[in-house]
Amino acid sequence: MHFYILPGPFRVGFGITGNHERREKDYTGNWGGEAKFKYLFEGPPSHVKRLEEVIKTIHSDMLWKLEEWTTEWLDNGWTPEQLLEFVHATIAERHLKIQQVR
Amino acid sequence: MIPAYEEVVRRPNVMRNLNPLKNHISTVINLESRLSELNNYKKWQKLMAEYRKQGIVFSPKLRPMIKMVKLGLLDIDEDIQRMLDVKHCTDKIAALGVFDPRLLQVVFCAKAIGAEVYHAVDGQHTATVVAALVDAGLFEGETDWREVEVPVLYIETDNKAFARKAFALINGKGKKKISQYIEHRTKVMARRIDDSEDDDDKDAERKQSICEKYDCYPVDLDSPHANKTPGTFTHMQAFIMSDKTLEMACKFHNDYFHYDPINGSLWFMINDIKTGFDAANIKITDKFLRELAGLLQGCFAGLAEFHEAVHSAHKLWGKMIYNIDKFPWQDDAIAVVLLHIYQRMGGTQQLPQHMLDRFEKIMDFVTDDIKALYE
Repeated sequence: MHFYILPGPFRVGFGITGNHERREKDYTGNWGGEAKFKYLFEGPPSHVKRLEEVIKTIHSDMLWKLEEWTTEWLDNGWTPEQLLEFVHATIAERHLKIQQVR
Repeated sequence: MIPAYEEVVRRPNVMRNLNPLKNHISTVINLESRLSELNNYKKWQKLMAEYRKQGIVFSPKLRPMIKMVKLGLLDIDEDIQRMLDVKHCTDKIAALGVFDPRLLQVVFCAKAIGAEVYHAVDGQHTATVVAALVDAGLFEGETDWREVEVPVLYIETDNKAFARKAFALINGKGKKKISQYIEHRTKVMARRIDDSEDDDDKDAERKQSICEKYDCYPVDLDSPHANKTPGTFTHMQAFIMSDKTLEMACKFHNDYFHYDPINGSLWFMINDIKTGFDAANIKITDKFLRELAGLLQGCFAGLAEFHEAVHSAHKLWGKMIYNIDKFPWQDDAIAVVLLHIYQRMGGTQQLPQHMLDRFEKIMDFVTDDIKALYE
């Protein structure tokens, strides 16, 4: 399973997928412009899911919220590199079996 | 091979200061601060704007009124209220050692317009018990229950449908229900602030202290800390566990997963392991618990993902073997699946066979990446 960091047209996004190439195409189809994951990580599903959950729950303050809806885009100001650094720190701190592959 | 547990840097738990149950003195907040809190809530502001936009205003006269009313003037519409539960009156409201006149609640009534006729829409049990206690001569100086006055909150209406809705509203639909967390908090605070000698309050406070000793903190489901702040939990059934088991669970969390909120599976896992091992007269060693922590951390990145994996396997097992789409969840699967994986990965701790014999087939339905850990 993969965890990706995606520079979007307005904000930095992230997510997990079992098929990163197809997911990239999904974004491209939705945006009407080519989407490419800038950073990609790979690991066992439970570890990848945990990484995503850590961001979505424990660090949910990072996320862009529309009214009561919490999205999977980071709030204004976050860069892909800042998220990359955060992900590396989380992986190291929690001993997650995840490696950066892009 | 079972992965060795790897230490995670321990940070001071923020709940030590934020825990609302730590107080030993009461905190009083005035209504103005509550008003300010609500006025600052964006959805409230939008709601008020909508009221203004639609030009809606209310007559102050429509607010309920309160009056001392003689019990003899109260009527009960059986088509609105439930039937009288005589067992509830006897065993709960008026029970010896339980009944306290200071705790009597106001009776909610619909008053007929222009007449002294009050239809109780809520509180018939209270009113009946008071009348019966007076009738039995248990209130000093009172002999005729019909003349005894009770506080009544009423609205004036001849519309029975409205009274019916009022009854539904009072009995749950419109009220914010008291959560299990608030019930627990009330008991803990009664002991800590008011030195309550009630056994329930003492039990709750003692269990709360066990949790706090290990940086574990109960929070309400709608707390901003729920599922977010390390050490917090919302599963109040944890307090049903014995002191020993609760302590074992909290210690396990604090020793190994102090960096996460507590996943509900912890309580079932530890409780079932403790019960199962005790029954088989097998000692639970620190080495074994550390091995389990290593397995959970190394293979599942913690309890949350392990919990989800067991749920998925259990669901698939029910579907494939029993052809049941909504297979009823069995929480004891959590501990048993963990023990099966432990054993299959080469764990050497003796395990209770009576536990392993349960859910064995479920192991056919764990995902391939889990099977790959031991195959």
